[in-house]
Formats: sequence, C-alpha cells, structure tokens
Amino acid sequence: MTIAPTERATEPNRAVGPSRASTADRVECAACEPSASWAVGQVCEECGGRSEWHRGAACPRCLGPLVVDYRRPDGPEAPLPSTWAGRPATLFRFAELLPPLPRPYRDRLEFPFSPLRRALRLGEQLGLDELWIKDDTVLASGSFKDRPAAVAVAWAAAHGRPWVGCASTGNLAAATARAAARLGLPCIVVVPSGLPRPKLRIVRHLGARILEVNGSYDDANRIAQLTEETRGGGFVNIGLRPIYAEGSKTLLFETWADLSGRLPDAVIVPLGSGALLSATQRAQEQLRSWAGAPDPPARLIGTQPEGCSPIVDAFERGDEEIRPVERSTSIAESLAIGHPASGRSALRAIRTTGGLADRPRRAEVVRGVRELARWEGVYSEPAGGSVVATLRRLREQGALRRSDRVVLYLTGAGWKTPTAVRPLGTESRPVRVDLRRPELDSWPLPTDDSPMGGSAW
Amino acid sequence: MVTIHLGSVLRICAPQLDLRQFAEFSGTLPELLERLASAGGPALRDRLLEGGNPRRYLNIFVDGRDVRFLPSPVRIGPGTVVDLLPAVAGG
Repeated sequence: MTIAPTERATEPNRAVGPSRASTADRVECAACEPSASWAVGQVCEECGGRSEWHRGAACPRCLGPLVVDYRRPDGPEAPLPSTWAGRPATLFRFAELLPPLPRPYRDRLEFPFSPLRRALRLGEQLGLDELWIKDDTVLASGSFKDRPAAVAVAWAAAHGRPWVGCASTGNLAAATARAAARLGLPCIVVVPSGLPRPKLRIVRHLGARILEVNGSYDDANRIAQLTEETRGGGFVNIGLRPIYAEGSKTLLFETWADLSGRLPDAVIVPLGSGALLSATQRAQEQLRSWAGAPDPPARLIGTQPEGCSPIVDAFERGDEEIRPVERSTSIAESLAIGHPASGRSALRAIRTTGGLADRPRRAEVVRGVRELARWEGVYSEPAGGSVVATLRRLREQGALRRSDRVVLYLTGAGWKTPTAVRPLGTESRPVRVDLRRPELDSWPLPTDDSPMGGSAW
Repeated sequence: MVTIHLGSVLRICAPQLDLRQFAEFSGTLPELLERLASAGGPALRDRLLEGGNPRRYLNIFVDGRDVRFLPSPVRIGPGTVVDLLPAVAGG
C-alpha cells in the first residue's frame, strides 16, 4: 500500500475557528480516499505548526503533541446536523469530524451509540434537576477506549500496518485487542505489572500478546514507545496517537445528538492522560463552529483521585506545567498516569471553559462507585466513582447549580476491577439456603432504605 | 559503553549522526546533551534544547528512569543506556 511521502512541518498557523479548505488542502493519501472527512493534516497543540499525515505523533518542530486538523471544504455543503441525521446512530455518523476511515474497515467494527441515561435518583440525592450519565461501561470491551481504538485500528488496517499495539492500564488493551480481532490484525499490548486479572484475561481471550513490564504505566509506555521505534507496527496511543485521540470526541458528539443539538452546562470527565478531556473540548469547539451548537460551551470539569493527580495539582497551583508523579497510590489504576501527555491541553481546556479540576479522596471514590450501583444500576470502575465524588463535592461547594444540565462520563465497567471496591454491608452477602429446609420466612425482604448512609462510609 | 536511543523524530534531524562516537562518553547528562547537539547540528540542537535546557516535550530516560526523578547531576558512563524520546505517548 502506498503511503504519501512525509514532509517537514509548514509554518506555524494555529487552526482556530471555522475555516474552509480548498481541494488542494485535502488529505492526499490513496488509502484515505474517498472519504467524507474534513481532515486536512495534523497540527501541533503547542506551537501550531502544521504537518502532513503520516508524520507520527510528535511535532517535528518542537516535539509537542499533534492533533488532527480539520477545515470545512469549499463549496456548498449541507449543514452537518442534517447530514448526520440521515445516518445510522453509530460512531461513524460523524465522519466529517473524524480522520478518514475507509468503509470496509469501519463497517466491520459496528459501533452503536452508547446510552445517555437520565440519572433521576442520583440527581435527586445531589439536588440536580437534569443529571445525565453517558454510559460507556456498556461498550463491547467495557470501556470508552473502544472508541479511540476503533478509529486507530481501522486507520492502521487501511494503511497496511502489519500489527497494532498499545500501552495500557488494561482498558485500552482490551479495546485494541478487540478491534484488532475484528479486523484480523495481530496485536501486542504492553501493561504494567499488577493489573486486575479480569483486565488481562479478556485480552488473552482476544488473542493479543501481552508484555507485562515490572514497573508503572509510564514505564510500560516507554517500553511500548521503544518497541514501536525498533519493531514498527502501529501503537495506537503512541505513533497513531493523533488518529486515536479523535475517537474520544464521539462521546460529546453523541451526547449533543441525544440532547437534540444542545450542549450540557457541564461535563465531568475522568482525567488520566488528559486526552479525553482535551478531545471533548475539540469536539465542542467543532460543534460550535460547524454544527450550530449554541453558546456558551460546556464547562469541562476534570476529576482525578488522590494518589496520582498531576493535572489537578497543576490546576490548583495555577500552573501550566505538569509535575510528573513517579509512583501512584491511586485507587483508580486506569487514571494513574504519572506523566500525562495531554495534561497541558487538558488544563487549557478546563480554564478556557471556566471549568474546574478536582481531587476526591479515596473514600469518596468508593462511595461514588456504590452510589452509582445502588441508585443508577451502573457498576463502574473507580474512575466513575471519582466522577460522582466530584459532582457531590461541587454541589456541596455550590460550584454547580441545581438547574445546571450536567453530564457524567462513565468510562469503564466495574467488573474489570472487581476487588477495587468491596460490596457494602451484610445485606450484600448471599443468604445461605438449604435445599431440603429452605426456611423461606427466615430472612427479611430487601428494602430501599439506603445502605449508603450512617457510619458505613 | 554508553548506549543512546534517539526517537525517530529526532533521528531524521541528524541522519548522518553516528551515535557510536559517544560509546566511551563519561560525564554528566547536560554535557552529553551538549555533545549530541554539537555533533548533530542545529536542527537536532533545536529539538533537544530550549534556552540551554531540555525541551518540555523531550523525555530523557537513563537506565529506564525518567531523569526528572533522578538527583542532579545525572552521571553517564560505561554501561549507561540513555533514551531520548518525544513525550507523546500515553492515555
């Protein structure tokens, strides 16, 4: 397969606001055409330097992170909302604002919207009239990582990469392995030691090769980066990172579509590398520029539990610089990224939108996991507990109003981290029933009196 | 022997640079970076250093440890492995 020759970065030219692309600006790559995508190349988040496709993930000028650059094509085009409304409710409905993904590959990934659920009981408890849950715990591999992995693996397959891989705390490993299995690509995942066994078991079933590094997530990342440098292939969150990160925009695209073209007042987003929050900001800027999403933008609120919170630390210092954390003690291993690659852009997004960054305590995260399960029927990993804990804290501080329309991103399922949070209290234990003398009147019927209250917390 | 790995985005700035010339290097990390920048030319220097310090998005690992967590000055000598990689991975 022919890949367009790479070229040096062009002059810095930040892509801001709506702009139009001439035909000459469009992607020139045999594997990418024909495509509905408005992508025109890549742009550095730090220096604004533009570069061509297939340049990797680091700016050739300053080494900053590259993101995909879009421009509206010249000529008459139907408004995006009406174009999108005529397509199935899948991730690829938003093809104009995703990297070019040829149909044979994306179609094989089948990717329906995840539910946007009204959280009535949790909203009532926390005093919010319109609280929503964007529930990515139900995705095929149990986390939102199915989105960026689908985009990156489809792109890798279309461009003839012989295999794909990732560095992961577990969720991305399963998502990449799943997408690779669907598209028939070999897969390698690099993980830190000590991950919950269910997270590795699913990856083994999906047929990926696992490299387990005796260190932290950041150590695993370095090994993955060196592997890609020396062995080729395509690591979705390293060399393919600009493509990969675009998939995470679709949480907000879907939320916007399910809210009938409205943006929420606030979105609470778990922070690991900061890539999801940064992608959410790019998504809402693109919706506002090109799809008629009204002002003001949603406030983006990041949450990262104590034990590994470099982005929140920088936010509280009022700093733009991230001070890396070498060893994590966080309850949320999926968020335990000590040196977050998108930390600075996440900070900018939080500040630009008038948002906040919050660091719940461990016990508050545990409480959040239990509240989600008991009040909303969602069994989430600790990242979701952190989201709920931050919601509670901000309501108590008055930083969110009762009338605010708030969306919670629940990004990973609890069954993948079964030992992170204990089920609460005696009533969650099985009642032993003897087959011959079941004594059916011996135990009380369950009640809805809250197991959340009292001293149990 | 000192082993140096340069990420590909750095290598393309100095394709003629032979890293074997640093095999016998002994000194501090800043001295090594200065030697690399001098030998690699202005394009590599510009990607490695900013105002005399390592660029923000340059990750430097010495024997697998991020130098941000090592006490200064970091010593480089026989047997040391130095990785110079863009800080783009993760998440």
